[in-house]
Amino acid sequence: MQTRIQELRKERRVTQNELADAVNVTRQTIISLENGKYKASLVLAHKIAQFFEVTIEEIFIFDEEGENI
Amino acid sequence: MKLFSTLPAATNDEYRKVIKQQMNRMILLALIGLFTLAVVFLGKYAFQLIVDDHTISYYSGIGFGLIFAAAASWFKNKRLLSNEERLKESRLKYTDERIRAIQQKAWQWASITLLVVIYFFMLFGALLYPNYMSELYPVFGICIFSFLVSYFIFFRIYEKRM
Repeated sequence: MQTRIQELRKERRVTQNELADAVNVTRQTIISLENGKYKASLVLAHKIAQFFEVTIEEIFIFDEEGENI
Repeated sequence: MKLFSTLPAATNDEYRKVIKQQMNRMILLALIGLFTLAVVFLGKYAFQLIVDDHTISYYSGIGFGLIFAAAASWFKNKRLLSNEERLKESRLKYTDERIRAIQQKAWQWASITLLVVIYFFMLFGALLYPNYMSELYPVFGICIFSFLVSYFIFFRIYEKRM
């Protein structure tokens, strides 16, 4: 699964620390999400989407074959 | 120990309750350490049981180890309560879903490793130390049996809850 977190973050000049603080996770979790090493839970995905004021689908790009969609 | 806490911690105030709960657990752990020391020393001096030096060192090591570990953790948490910034850092680590997922995976692999180690210990132990192993077999058997039974019980409980 790919994410547009880094892209949106840079677009809006938000640091990893600021995003981490806003969604109540550690900075390392934001780094792992941006690298695609960790898949966010639905709750975290929702919080991140709320923070950027976009839908979940606009941030998290599901790989249809890999994710069995 | 925080892993076993189920209290929510969305704010520092809520997290304080988690820390206080952990501090109480540390007091309990220290009491277990004291109980361990009491068992061996009361056994030897009050009830005149024959306890060799090796057993006394063994029980003392466990007892003092538990007391010191509990005290160190208790004071660490006490300091944490008075520092708002460090409390927040600790709270984020406690609530972070990725860290929780890592902890669960670590527990899973640690459990598998434990079972494999016990299996090989039993396998080679019987060849190398047949006399000791005949006494240890029931202990290992109870450990593995308890592990598997508790797994199936908790699986059924969570199957109904989730």
